[in-house]
Amino acid sequence: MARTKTALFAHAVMALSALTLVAIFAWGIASGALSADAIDRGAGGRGELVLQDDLEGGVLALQPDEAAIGVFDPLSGERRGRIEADGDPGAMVPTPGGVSVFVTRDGSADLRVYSTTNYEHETTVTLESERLSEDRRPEHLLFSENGDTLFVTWKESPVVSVYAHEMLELELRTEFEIADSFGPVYRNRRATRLYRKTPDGLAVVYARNGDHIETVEAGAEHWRFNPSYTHIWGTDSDGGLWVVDERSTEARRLDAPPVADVPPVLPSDSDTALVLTADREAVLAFDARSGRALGTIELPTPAAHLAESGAGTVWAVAETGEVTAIDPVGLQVHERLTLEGGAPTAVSASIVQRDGNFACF
Amino acid sequence: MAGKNTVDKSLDLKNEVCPYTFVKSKLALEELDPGQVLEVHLGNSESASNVPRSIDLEGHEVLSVDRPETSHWVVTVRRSQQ
Amino acid sequence: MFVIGGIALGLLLGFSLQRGGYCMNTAFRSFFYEKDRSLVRAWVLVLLINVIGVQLLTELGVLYPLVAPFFWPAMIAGGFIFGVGMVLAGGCASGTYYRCGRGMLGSMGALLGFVLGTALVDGGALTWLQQSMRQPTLDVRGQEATLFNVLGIETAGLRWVLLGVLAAAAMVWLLRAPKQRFLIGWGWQRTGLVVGVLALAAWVLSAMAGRDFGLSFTQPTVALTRYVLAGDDSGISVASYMVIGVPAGALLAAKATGEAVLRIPDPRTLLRQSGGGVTMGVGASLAGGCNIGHSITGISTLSIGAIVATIFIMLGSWTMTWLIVRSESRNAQRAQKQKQKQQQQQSRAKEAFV
Repeated sequence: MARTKTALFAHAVMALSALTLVAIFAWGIASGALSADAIDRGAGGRGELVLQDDLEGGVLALQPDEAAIGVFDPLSGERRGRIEADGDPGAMVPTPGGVSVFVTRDGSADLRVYSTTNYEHETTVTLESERLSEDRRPEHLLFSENGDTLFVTWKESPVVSVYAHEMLELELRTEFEIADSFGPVYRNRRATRLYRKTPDGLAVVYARNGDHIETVEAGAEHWRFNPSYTHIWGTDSDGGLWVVDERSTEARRLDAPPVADVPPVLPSDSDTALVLTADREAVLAFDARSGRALGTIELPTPAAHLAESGAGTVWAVAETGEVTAIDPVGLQVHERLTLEGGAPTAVSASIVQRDGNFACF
Repeated sequence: MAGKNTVDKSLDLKNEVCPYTFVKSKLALEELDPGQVLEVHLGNSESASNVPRSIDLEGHEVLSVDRPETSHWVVTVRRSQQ
Repeated sequence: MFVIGGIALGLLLGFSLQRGGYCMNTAFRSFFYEKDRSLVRAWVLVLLINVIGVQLLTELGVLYPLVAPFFWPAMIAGGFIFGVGMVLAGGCASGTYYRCGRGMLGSMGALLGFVLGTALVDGGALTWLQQSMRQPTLDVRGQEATLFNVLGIETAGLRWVLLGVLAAAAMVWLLRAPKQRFLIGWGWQRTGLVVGVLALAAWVLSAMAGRDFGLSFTQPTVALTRYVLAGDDSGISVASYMVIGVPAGALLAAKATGEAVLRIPDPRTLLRQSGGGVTMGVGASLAGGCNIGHSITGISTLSIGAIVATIFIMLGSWTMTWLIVRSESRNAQRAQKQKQKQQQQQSRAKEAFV
């Protein structure tokens, strides 16, 4: 008798807990909070644009007219705040967590760090160097995925400096030269390999010591990885569009209409590559892995460059400060916005990441 | 038939899981004299399949595997002659 | 679509794990302690299907498998800890999941422990341990440490020659297998074939949903825990839905054979299994995967890290089994001595009486 009662109780407890779990998941799926298809393979028109409206942070736009960085709402385009940059800001890079932004200044070897949430100046860090003289000027900045490393390239220098980053403090870890290289440096997923342009193509080096591994013969000016780091997309100054397979480093020039000499955009939640046409009046979409053309989005206003908004859309930013927000999944114009404060020279999403990262399989 | 009547030792391992089922059965067998019979009660199909197979490969003689209830298996084994 | 696909795949997997009694704890242990190799053969068959399948799909451009970085201290220590925990818990990660479905309370304790252990190391109080042990990593000039990269094999022809040799060796060993006796449920051939095909299907389904990995249990467990307890849904993927399906599928299979019975172990066993679950969770979170994530899916990418982790899972399980055998046999000896002593005393008493 006692045994059946225990069993009955155990059954009831199990049924209740199972029911609770089922209810949690049913609610999650019904409310759209839960979904397994986080990345749409970009079949073009398949799937829907998922807008993220509860984001902290915003889109940072470097606005030289005001010598400031405007912080804009990624959906409405409304200006939330301004970061007053002391001196002429050059390049900017948000930390991967999205709460701060590192900015270079003309005529200085220092980086200024600002908060993206209260727009205040947080600290100024000095970039040490063993190979370069006092008049070194940082040109491009790049963080590793988890933010523990910062890669810096310098104006008119083939040197790449690697800094350990922790709590807005930088410590020089290593420094090496990539022969004849120039421009920004790019990295693979775990930043074990670095890529930089040379007159011969794209040099691939070992990130630990700068050992040259090979040079990919592809003459593109601007390169971007797709979010799963399987392919690198590049645009060259002759209107050419390039795709490089990360593993085999095989490069091919796509048979596509001429494209503009601006960085492609590969939004983080769809494996799609978006590039601006040479006449700047349309955006071409490709499957980021196969290179298959997915479609064309006509722009109401010619754009100067493209940027990810961080909220699901991609911004085509015009020289007037007008923005066409594109739906990268449905491949259509989503909305038109106007940025206060004049035309930005650089745009970068800085979304605060509160959710944990997963370190297992 | 003879096995049923002359069980020398019985072991209840219905609530045990591997590796305890195998370890305990093996040790119990080693305590017996050659030719004596051990009866093991097991409560899950994995053990009821793995225990006799392992014991068989150890050189002992598995006399029978019965299933008196849906989740109750009885394995009878005779200890080898060495 | 992917939700339903994931759950369906999980159901099928749970069903076949239960039918095949596919316990990798037993498989790894039997390598060393028993003469029965049936479950090892099932595992080798799963690997054969997956290694060939994953390489083929990679060459065809369908898959771009993600390979865990070779953080060797965490893989060695975590694998060993996982192996120890798996013996105490009475089942590996997948084994624990499917036995829960069939009503074994001991496995439920182990699963709760596993959840706790993974949460502790992956984002919890022991995160520092995970991070510091994962600092030293090895790679091949910036590329992941896979068998092909380490050997410097760059052409498809050479890759297939090597795979062919390995596959042929595995096939010969499998074909020379003796007949499996005392079988309940599926034999190793069918179990290995079905689990292998399902694991490969998990790769394809995951790839369709944008996740470049196959079957796994550790990350999905952490992701589900974080979603249920903290509302963080960022880790939920197809794999999470598969994991939910596994106990349900096992329940269905067990119902059909009448094995679905609530089974309550004695308190000591329950405690041991729960503690084993915690140990297993800590190990899996350190090593970055469990007997599925490393020993099936990881190995199918020919990752050196996954192979090393698997070796240390085995070493851990052999060590723990050896300790158990030793303590059990000591107990048995002590019991026997006591018996002899009693008999001596009795006979002495008799003598004295006479």
